[in-house]
Amino acid sequence: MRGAKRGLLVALSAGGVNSELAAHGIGVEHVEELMVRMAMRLLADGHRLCFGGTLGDPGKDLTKYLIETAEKWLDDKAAAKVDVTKPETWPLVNYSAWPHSRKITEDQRARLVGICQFIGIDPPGIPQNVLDSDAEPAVEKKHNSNALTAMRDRSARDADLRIVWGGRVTGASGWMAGILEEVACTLKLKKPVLVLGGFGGCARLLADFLIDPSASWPSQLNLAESADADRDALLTDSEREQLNARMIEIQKLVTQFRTAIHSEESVNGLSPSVIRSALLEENNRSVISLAADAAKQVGAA
Amino acid sequence: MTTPVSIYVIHHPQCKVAEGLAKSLYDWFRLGYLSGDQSGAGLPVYYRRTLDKNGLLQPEIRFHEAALNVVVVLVDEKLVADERWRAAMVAMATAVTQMRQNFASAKTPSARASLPQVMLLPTALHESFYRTGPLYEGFNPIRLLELTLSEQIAVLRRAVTEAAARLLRGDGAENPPPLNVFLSHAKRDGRHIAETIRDGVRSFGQLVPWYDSNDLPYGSSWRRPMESAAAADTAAMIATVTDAYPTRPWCRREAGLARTPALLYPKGTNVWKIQPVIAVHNPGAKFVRGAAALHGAPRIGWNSMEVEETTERVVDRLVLEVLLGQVHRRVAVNLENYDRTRKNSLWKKSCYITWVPDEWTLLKLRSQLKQRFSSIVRIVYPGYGLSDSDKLDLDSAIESFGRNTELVSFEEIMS
Repeated sequence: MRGAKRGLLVALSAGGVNSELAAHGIGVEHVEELMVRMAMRLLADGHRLCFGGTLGDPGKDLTKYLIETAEKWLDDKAAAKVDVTKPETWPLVNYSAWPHSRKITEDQRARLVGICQFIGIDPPGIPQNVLDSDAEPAVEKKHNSNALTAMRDRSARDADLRIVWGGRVTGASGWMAGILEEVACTLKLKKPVLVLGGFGGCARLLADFLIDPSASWPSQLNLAESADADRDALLTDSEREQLNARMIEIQKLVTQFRTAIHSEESVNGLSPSVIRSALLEENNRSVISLAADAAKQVGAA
Repeated sequence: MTTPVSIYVIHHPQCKVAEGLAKSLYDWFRLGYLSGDQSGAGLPVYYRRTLDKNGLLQPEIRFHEAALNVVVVLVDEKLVADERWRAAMVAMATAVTQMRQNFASAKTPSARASLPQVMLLPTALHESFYRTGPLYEGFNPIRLLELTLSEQIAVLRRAVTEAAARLLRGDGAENPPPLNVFLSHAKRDGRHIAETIRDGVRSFGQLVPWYDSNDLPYGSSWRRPMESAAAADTAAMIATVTDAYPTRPWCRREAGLARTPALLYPKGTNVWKIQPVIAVHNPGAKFVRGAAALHGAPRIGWNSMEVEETTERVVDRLVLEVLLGQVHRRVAVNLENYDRTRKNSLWKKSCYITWVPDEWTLLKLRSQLKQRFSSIVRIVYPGYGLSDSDKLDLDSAIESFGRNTELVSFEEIMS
């Protein structure tokens, strides 16, 4: 296996919409292609990959292509280690939040044994019988948003390294922009994260903030951009306070991260120079190299 | 290192048809990036869908980053009616006209080499295109009016591919020599398909079908024209692979000649080329062996229920292979020069090839190198890299060069 001393579980998070990516001269297909190219390289280097969010719907082409990529590009040594009774040896992990997790059929799970492990995440604290019954659309949205938060926390706990790029800014399904929440979950656990800012979206807003120590918090990274009147009307006062407190905590975590990457000390196992380079790089080839380097650094730690 | 070609697709952000057409061009030139098994890197494609507060394209197009910039402007009624967009496209037309004049008036090749080439391809989606002044008056548009969406995609794809291939083949000249397309087939069971494809080839302005090269005895006069065209680099081939094809010695010879590597320049470099080849498969009911020389060539199955569409796809793909071959050659030459000027000791022991390798062409390369093959430690090839299983297939061929010989992709070197 070339690359890291040990194979990592690398979380890849990307997305976006054409209208938000247009200002950078790219579209959704650029984001998707980078996902496939990144997956090829990391799998060939012997790592496993996890992904979630909208990719949790097996009907989506990108999920299907990532799975095909895993089948074709798996490093031979890693492939030899796959044990069909041990999902932790399979190359892919897909996290999907309720209710989308319910769409994954038994047939799909069976066909992908040894390739992709599917982990469904329910909203915390909601009994199964409630989730199994029909709900008002607003209630369903609230459950989904909470499930998304739980999913991002779970993937952050499981993964050794997270790499993010693109990402929707406005109109995300969850309580906030997905990339922002994923970065925050990862930082809270003091785990390494690489923000690729060259591909627009939420990651670009974060990158602009991170690269400039004097920059103000991006005005678009707030709860209002993901507001949903019907869903938000169901929030209790306590829940609303918790959400606002979370947002403040997130800003603090990212600000602390910014300070750290402008020092010379390793940040959660990554060199600050690699993190800073990733913020600005726009070239596919270069970001894939940076990602591979980052995985190597984390693996060697 | 500048990239040989960049493609930009410009359109009004609210035109959904144009958004779809832009994606179709992306899919075409990126060689089906989503399939995950494409080791070959296609051509870079970017979009321009927004204007900044000054009415300029956002981000601006950095023409100097590519030797050839192909700019496709998809003009619909929203773009024409929008004052800011209309002004931006008129400005683009004026700027490109000036750049073309600068290029044409450059006195020396080195002066020309320092200037970016820009090819502007305005595309009419609506009749209001004819109200765009300099954009209409200065450039021959691609007309997509009154076509179905699938027809629009096909016409646009062909026009952009052909225009870019023409310019690259001619090294900037407006009218490069035509490309002779050899239609290799076995008359016994491949004639009908070959003739259909021949007619499709004729519809391309820069392609000349060369058909009557089969079912002739060894040593007959067909060989000299084909070898001359190959030597003059004006040859491509479409092979109709039927049951009889691999049993015909002259079919195998044609395929072998097309896929045998040759030096790009006779002296001083180690950059190698092969002819662009497309294989069209139409198997019958017999058990036959394949034609080994064509193993690594792009192949498609003949669909007798969709003859016109299949013919179009075959001819379009051939022109794309011509275009990609030209691009890979430029990258290979640049990489070799880069290694040479950095006094990288490896460059003398490297072969820079301009196709994704397969066993047959690698063994032919070894044969073409004659005694020099044992000194080769690195074979540099286009794309992001081959999967481990693909490389495993090539192990024997690589080991035949030497124990230390390895395959390295363009992208791996440039990283």
